[in-house]
Amino acid sequence: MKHSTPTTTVAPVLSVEGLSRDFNIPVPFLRRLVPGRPRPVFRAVTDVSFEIPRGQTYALVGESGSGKSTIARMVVGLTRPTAGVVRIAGHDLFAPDARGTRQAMRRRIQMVFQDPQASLNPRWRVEAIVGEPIRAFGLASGRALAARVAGHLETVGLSAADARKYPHEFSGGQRQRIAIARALASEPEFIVCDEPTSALDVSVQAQVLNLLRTLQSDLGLTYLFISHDLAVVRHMAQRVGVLQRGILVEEADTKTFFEGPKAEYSQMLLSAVPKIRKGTDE
Amino acid sequence: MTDLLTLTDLVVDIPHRRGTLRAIDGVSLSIARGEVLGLVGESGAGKSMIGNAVIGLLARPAHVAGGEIWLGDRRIDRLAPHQMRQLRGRRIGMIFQDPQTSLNPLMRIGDQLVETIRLHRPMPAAGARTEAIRLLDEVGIPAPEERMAYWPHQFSGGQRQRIVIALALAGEPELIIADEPTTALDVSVQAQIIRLLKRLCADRGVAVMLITHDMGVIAETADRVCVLYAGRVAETGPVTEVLSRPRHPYTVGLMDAIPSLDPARGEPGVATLRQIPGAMPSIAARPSGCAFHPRCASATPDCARVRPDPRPAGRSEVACPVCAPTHEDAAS
Amino acid sequence: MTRVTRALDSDLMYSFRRTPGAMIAAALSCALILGAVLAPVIAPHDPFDPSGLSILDNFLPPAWDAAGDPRFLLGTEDQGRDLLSAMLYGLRVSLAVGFASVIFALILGVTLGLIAGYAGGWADNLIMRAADIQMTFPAILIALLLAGIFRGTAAHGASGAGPLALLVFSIGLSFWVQYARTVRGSVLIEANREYVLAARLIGISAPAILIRHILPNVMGPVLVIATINLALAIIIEATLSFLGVGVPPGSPSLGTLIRVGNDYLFSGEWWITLFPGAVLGVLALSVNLFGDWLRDALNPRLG
Repeated sequence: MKHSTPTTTVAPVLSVEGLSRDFNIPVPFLRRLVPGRPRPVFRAVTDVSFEIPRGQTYALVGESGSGKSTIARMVVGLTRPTAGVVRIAGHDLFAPDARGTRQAMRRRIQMVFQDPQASLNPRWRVEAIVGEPIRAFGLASGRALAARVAGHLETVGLSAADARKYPHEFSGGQRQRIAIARALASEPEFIVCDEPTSALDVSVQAQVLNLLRTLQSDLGLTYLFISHDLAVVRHMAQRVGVLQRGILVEEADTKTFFEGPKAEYSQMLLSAVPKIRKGTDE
Repeated sequence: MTDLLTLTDLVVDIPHRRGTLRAIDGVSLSIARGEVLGLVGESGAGKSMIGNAVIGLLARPAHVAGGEIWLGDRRIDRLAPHQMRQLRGRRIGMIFQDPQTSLNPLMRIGDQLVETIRLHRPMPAAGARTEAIRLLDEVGIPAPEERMAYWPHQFSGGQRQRIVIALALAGEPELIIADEPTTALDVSVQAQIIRLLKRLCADRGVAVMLITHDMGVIAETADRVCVLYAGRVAETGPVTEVLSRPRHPYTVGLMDAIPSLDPARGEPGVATLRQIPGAMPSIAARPSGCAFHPRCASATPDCARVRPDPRPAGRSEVACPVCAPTHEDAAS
Repeated sequence: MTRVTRALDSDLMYSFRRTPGAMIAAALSCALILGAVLAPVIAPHDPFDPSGLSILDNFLPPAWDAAGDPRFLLGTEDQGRDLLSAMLYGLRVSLAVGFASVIFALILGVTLGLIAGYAGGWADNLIMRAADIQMTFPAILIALLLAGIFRGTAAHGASGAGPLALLVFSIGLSFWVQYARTVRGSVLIEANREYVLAARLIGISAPAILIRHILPNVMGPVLVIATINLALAIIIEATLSFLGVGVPPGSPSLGTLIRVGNDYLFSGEWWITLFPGAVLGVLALSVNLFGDWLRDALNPRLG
């Protein structure tokens, strides 16, 4: 049973309806030859629907195996849904005629990944990494491109001189900033943040989260923020959706949610968060 | 009563072809019998290295280059490998982070338990089996007698970590070093494991060195906490004091940077997290004097010259002359 | 720091300077390669110039022997050619065929490995099954088979680039599998990493991802395989030439010389086989040792 409180009516940047994704469970070849047995299937995501209005942050919360990463990949077009629709500003992302418009739509979406180590090609210089989206969408070339790369690096708190370096010369937090600069390079409207700070230390996390917030208000970005950390979610999002094994069990605006979640699973998640400041203050 | 574990000015060096890196730079701490000490720090602070140094498992070429490690009344930092082996498991147990790789995937868990038990407490096989079943029950594995024959992959991550705890307790150690025991687990499972560890250690009077970067785990489990920064101790004290009223500027910054569920600390989605500018220095480039001074808002010119010793403040010890001045500082 | 000084100061060079075996092996290999490249310059005689040959000069022992001739330092073979010069030119052929075969196998194997690893499905199956089938035959047997077939179908007595190319093709075809398997394994890992996803996200095509993103990250082990393969390629070429199905008679390699000498080994003219054989052995050994060191030095887990 899904508990949800209604949103306000603003044109949504992302709209997801009835999204489902099945994965085939590998079966030995000989067993596949035996007729009459249906192929076993693992339902990672079942009938998920939500919307994100422009300029807002929607958080998708769940534990491992909840399907949040699968949803993230479907929303950016990396994985095709088994059922359901993904709409970016009203256009169907997976529509069969969307060949030419697919690239145009790709420009509006970007993603920041969890692992700062693996999300940057270790053999490429930073200028190539951040410049790739600019080249791919034909936004600039030559000196203009270099200037844009320098600009994005400075926006995320690095310096233009860092463009010549390789990823291994930076710390985890700095690499995540480079990943954010890359995400900004194609000038998207909508960014999916898949556990962007889970692999970072607490003090670095604070810097990156603050950066994301500043960018959102400066550039009018819309975020889908995926996390397992409820405290971070409370800090970043206006709306929260809770996923349990592929099903959206609750959806509410943040204030209401943290005052008292309605679904049992949500309550369990909230109670499991350790309380840090004990003693007389809380 | 003497403390169970005492580290005095521990120094761990890593020789490199370009010079020697000092990973741990004079750390002193102590753990009393039955106490849970949380060793907290961010990546690069050196907390795992301290745990490895105590149990003698520093990865070569890192080695203890100075200071002393005492377990009860016995000095253990200079022991020969075979003596260290007798200590491991029997007096000091260890729990590692990843339950996936802590268990031998090719051995049934019953066999692993029995082997460990008999190694440290010689007894006939039947007795060891009974003891193994009892341990499994104690750590909360349902139907322990049947599960003895199971393979590690047949358990969930949380259950595997419980088995690892059982293995650590099998030798009936006096001290357990737990290195990030819950980091690889989901939040709900994490809470269960923390409670289990706390209960078991309280029941058996086993001391715990809990190494983690997660303040939440410290808050729920530890009696005292030691905050590490760049291979040195910044602040040590009772958990209630250090977490609620931190003194060292680094600890203050750290606690401020942690997002909270507490409504008193800001409206959801509105307030900004307070952040510490800059980043923790690498051990190859430790600042002179106090390692934190380049990032510290309360730094004085002295902070860049003199390395501060831990001095008492309330029930804690803080390595900062500005926030915990002693009468010697006032006199100079 | 310039790129050169940075490379010289790297951990790899540091390991090299501390491993005497690697330095000796590298020095020997370089000396032999240099000798081969400069053969036209440093060879005392031109073994292919018929006017300089005299059949009366044949079977002369090395210069330090009583019956030797100081003009021919290592003696002469059955046609009256100076052995040293013939060896230098032979080294050229051996090395050229060796390098070319390795490069051919590398390009073929890496390409197939990239496709198999990234595309998966039936392409992966096809390539891997072809690899499995080929692995059941020893490399030399395959080379022998192919060389024999090509020789039979090609014009008799042809010399020059054609038969050499076919030889390179046969040898190279016998060890593409190692490259393909290694690269496929690495590609399977890299293809799921987030930097590849980031590229797919902005619509970069699969071939572009393979070449620009994945290839640089899987080339490490390939280099080591290539170095060790070089020694094997040289030996295989020598064996084929020894058996008579290798290089055409117009451009003799070390293997050809060994074969020629083999006929006369027991009638006392030992030098014709020994010296080319010794050089072949030293070349193969030093290249092998260098490859061994390189593999260990590039292995992140050791040391």
